[in-house]
Amino acid sequence: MKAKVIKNIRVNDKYGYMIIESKELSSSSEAGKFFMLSPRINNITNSDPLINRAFAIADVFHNDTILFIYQIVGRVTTILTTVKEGDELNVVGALGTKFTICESKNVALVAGGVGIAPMIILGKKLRSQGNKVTLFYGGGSSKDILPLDILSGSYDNIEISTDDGSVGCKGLVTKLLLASNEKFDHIYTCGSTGMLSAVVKTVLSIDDGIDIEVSMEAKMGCGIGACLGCLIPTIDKNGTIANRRCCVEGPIFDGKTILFERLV
Amino acid sequence: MANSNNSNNVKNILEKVICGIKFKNPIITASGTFGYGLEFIRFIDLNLLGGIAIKGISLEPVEGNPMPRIVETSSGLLNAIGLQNVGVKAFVAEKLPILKSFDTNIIVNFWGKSIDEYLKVAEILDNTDGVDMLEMNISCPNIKDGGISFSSSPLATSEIVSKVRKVVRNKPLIVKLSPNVTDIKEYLKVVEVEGADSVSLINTLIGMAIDIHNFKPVLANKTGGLSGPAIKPIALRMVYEAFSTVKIPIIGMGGIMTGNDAAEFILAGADIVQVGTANFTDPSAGINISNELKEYMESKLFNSIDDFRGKAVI
Repeated sequence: MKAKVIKNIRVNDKYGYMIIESKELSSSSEAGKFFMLSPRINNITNSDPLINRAFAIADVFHNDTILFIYQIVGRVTTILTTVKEGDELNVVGALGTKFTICESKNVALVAGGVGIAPMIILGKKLRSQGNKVTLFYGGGSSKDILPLDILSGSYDNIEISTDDGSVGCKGLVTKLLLASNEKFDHIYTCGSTGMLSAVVKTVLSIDDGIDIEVSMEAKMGCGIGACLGCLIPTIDKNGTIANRRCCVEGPIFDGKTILFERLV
Repeated sequence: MANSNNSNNVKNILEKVICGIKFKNPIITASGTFGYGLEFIRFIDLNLLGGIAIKGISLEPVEGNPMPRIVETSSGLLNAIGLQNVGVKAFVAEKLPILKSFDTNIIVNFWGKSIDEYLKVAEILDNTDGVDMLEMNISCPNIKDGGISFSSSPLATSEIVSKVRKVVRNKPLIVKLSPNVTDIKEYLKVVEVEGADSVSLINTLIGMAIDIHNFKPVLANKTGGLSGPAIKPIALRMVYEAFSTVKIPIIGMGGIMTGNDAAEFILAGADIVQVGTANFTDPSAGINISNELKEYMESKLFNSIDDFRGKAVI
């Protein structure tokens, strides 16, 4: 389906964000879901790059526009930096599973780098249901921490960490989580696979009764469950091991079911 | 010219019959790129496709290869999924009943780890309602026992096709060929002699990508099958060769992204085409390609596929 570019804002040399208009995509969007974006902009039929890329839905406005955030890492995201207002994108979505929206709980959101994206809409939804929402937001340096204005309204508290200490606390985001005096009922996290693994370990070390939902990342061929290229190894309560498609059975999983040690 | 404007009488110029099976358009979604078809119901109307080739089915469920299984390369996709599938029993019980409700041809791709397994799964599918055609995969490059050994020599191909032919009595049998051979004409001849009703080509080309930071192949399987526009010129050449080599219907595929690509394959000799990797980039690719092919045909005043099939073969 088509989506029209409303805004494309370059935050710094590593990140940008875009607001695109698509009623269909917006109406099916929920916190945790994603969409696939074609590298063919304005219907130009280039075949290289070929495969669509997955982006988390960061926010929905007025039921017809959505926000997404991109980290400039490869060919497609470099192309995205050249997209202009009014350009036409091809998208497929919204796709995948969503986060659980609990009610009147004390919840923590743990985001690493571009993993902040789904945490924006999630924080808003959680606050609207009477939850107290704390964001732990980590990155390599100040460049990885997005301007707080696009995060406004999503959180009650924000705690920031960077590897180099250029903003917030120096160190990993899990250090902030461990140091917190809050007692959380439910934790949500999105970031690199390494970070997610560390967050799950940290949470289990605090209290293995805390619910933890992770937004997993995998290279996807189609995003709709057909190519079987994005499997995540999982184990359920009965000890049954199964590969599950990140795009359909995920990207949101119970963090305790992920076999992180099997992921490269 | 009487009645030519009568809407009840408008000819569907895309219609094509092969092996006694009527296709409303010559577009089949290719095996391995369209799951069990059901994954796409949310996005498109399956009734608008000429046919659906189901992901390769084996006798028992198969887990497939370790991750990573896919990597994008220049204008292409390398995959080493490893023929993961639910097995013929679950396919027939759980997937086929839903597929049957659509007005499109169901072509079930199948394979085995041994001749015996090929025969068993073929026999089951041949006797299953709702399966319109069988497509025998002797050419998956991604697992050791995935049939590739059966396309490693014309003799091996001859043996497996002749045995499977004997158990497939009710439905048309398509044999899907590997491009990873020196001379595909030898294989085409053998397949026709052994009684296949149709050939489909090409399967993926064996390729590789290397991670220059970790100093190892990107895919856990090391090599994978290359698909997408990168392989189209090779696929076209092989379909072109097939046209002069066999009389049985040819199903052409390899990197088709647009109606014009499909037209190239038909001009090279294909009766029908399959659309593969394009399904990943757009779930409605098959339908779009069908519409674009119709526009092409109208622009050239072609009234049927046969009007231009093989026209480029000189």
